Amino acid sequence: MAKTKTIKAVRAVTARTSPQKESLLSMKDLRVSYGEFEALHGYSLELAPGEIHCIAGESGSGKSTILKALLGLTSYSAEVTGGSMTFAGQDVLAMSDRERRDLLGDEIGLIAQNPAASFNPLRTFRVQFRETLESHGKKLDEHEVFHVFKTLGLPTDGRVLSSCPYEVSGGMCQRVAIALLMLLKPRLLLCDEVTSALDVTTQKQVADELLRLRDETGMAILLVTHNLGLAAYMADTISVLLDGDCVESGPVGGHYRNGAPGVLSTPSHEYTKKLLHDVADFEDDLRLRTAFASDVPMAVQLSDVHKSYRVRGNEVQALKCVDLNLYRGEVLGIVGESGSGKTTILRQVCGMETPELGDVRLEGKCQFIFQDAYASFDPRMTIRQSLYESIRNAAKRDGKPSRRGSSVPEYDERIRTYLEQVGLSEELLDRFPSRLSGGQCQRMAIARALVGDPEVLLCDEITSALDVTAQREVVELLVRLQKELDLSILFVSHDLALVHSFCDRILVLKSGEVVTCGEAGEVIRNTEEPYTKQLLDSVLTVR
Amino acid sequence: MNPFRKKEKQLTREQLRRRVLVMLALAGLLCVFALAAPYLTPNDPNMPHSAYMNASPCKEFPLGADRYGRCVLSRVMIGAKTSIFSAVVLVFISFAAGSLLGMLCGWYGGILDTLIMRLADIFLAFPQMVLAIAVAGVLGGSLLNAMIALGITGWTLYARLARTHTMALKHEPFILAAQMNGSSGPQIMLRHILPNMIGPLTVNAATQIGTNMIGIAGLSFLGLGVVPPKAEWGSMINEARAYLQLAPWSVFVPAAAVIVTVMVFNYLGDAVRDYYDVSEAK
Repeated sequence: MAKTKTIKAVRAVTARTSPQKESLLSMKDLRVSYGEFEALHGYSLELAPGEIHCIAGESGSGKSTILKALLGLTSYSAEVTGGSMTFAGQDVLAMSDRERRDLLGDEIGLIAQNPAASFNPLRTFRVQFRETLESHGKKLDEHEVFHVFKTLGLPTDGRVLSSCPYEVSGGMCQRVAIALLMLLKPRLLLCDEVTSALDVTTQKQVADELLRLRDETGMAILLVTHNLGLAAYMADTISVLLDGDCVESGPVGGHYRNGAPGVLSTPSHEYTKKLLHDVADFEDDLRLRTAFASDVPMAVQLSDVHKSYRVRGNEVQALKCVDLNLYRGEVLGIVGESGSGKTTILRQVCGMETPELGDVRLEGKCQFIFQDAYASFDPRMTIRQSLYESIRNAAKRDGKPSRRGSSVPEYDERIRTYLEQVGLSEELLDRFPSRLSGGQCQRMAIARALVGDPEVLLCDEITSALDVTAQREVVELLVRLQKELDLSILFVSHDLALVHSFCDRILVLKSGEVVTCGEAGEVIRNTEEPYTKQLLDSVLTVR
Repeated sequence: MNPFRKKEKQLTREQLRRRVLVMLALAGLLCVFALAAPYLTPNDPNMPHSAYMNASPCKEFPLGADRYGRCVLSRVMIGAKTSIFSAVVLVFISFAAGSLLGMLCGWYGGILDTLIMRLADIFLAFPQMVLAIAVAGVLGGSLLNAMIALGITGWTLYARLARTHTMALKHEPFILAAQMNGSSGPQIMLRHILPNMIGPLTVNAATQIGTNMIGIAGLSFLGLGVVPPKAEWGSMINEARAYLQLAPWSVFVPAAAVIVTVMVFNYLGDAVRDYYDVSEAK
């Protein structure tokens, strides 16, 4: 308790926490099973009004199960097998469906991971706002809406209200979802991975809005995330989940609270320590060498490249006068918000598209690795079949005869060496991609890329769909492969800290234009460029 | 107390699988029966017996005789082969042709896509049965012509479905990965696109067997399909309907055969679809 008090003193906002120790949401020894499988082995939580609690853990640790139990979603074959759950003194588990429905929306609000999916894509926000407010006995007052929009930094001229969800960006859509909740004023807000689909800058904005919302209305927030930086920034208390067990819980602490002690600043459990270790930050240096010599020949060279797309009749300039050099054996990080043209650059390099103007030169063979590893494998083929296909294609390209059949010892031998390089065991080969974990699947994708003997690897946000531990694995693997196979790597990401931790140089892209390009440490420490500074300021770190 | 109570009454995957197997067994039984019919008939299906004209069911003719004194049971058994296999073959051919055309359209796009899809639109602009009657009328009555008449519109369904699936799959990362890996267009279509869309297409085809069976029986009923004296359920009903009051069995028995067979194949289609949906949702 003493710890909690120190934190309250440091963070003025937490003072909103009501002085008497009344709890808004209380869970005691909650157990949830999916059929035979118990996903949650006794979870306890006391949430006071105005408190922000974060539930952290890797995918599959049971984070979302807690939310499902609270929301009582009937479509899941899950069952609460033990424990109790009360909201404002009412027993939630004993409620009828009707009572629970009334509770949701009026008292408990939910912001989902993908805001666009929680709105009807073909109806305007105005219609959906009216419908939602009316179902809770409120009237749509546009002045009130615009007032809320203004605090969220949304345009107040009715343009947003008149548009459909697909017409606005993901960040804007998420803010509209928050605006709707501000109008409903629930006492408890559930946020399920709210920021994981967003860029760093929008992520910070959304986090700030949520904090302000809490300060103004005194609502409690239950934050489910695997982003520890976000947890450190927003939450007052945290519980860390591992395979359905809560391994550690307590106040957050950390540098956003002037170094107050807490779970994130002084972790006690091994697993929390590992999670914290795996988060990339600006002090990390995963590079295996001290300096990179730039007097080697060029692997990729883009000069004065222009590219535009036609989107619904409008010309969109995706790349403007882009100059880029990738030296042989270099790791170049390309950073920018979504829509800044990062992926477009890779598409020009690998020849998937050709630029309208300018010159693209690629020395040697290149291979592409995708953001969504699962989607980059044919779901109806085993990993072995996919790798065989790549080997056959590579043989065809090099003019060698390819062997037919579903089991070729010669190919198996080659695959074994690649698997050794990416550190995976052979028994994974006969599985389908959906049976691999995210990290394993992405490493398999790297193995498949290596099959084609590439000199250049193009990595398109390959870590953003992974949790921190898997991210770390993939990055360490890339660094090692780069050294062993002398690869040149173009690494596209929106995670500045991660890019800084292992890239030789960083190139910052904004709306299709290069704003900064330089040695990684130099860019992070000494940049004067305002956009790069803004990106850096938005990064939420744990330490 | 359970917050997840009021679970939807849903069949488990295993139950759905069993349903598919049961319906498959029934359909298989019908097919075997149809193939074995020539050896099982109690009488010669085409032999008239003047003493038994419009005879009611008796020892010699278990389900009665028609106006020429031919055994109704034997004719229905022989007709099973025509009805079932013509429908299955028709579905298979329009499924194969339609899927291939649709996949080519979806993959290559451009002028080929426009030409084939506009052609499909023209066929779809007519009500299927009316167009089939017109085509069969021009070609003259025969089983083959009835199948051509139905197939001329049948392929459009598969073509449109295959085209949409191909266009959606085309932008999946694993297709891009295969492309950048150096796989050629036909290779990608054969190895990646076809296996990934064959499921929904087959499900659709399975539900179409019953419809096509009714289509062929309908054309035969109108005298545009199988022509007498060859036994076919639709033409049998047509022949016998003038004597409905005298010999109702010669209408009702082939009609019942159509109903039972179409139901078995429709249930099979539905069972396959439900099982597939559950497997996909996994």
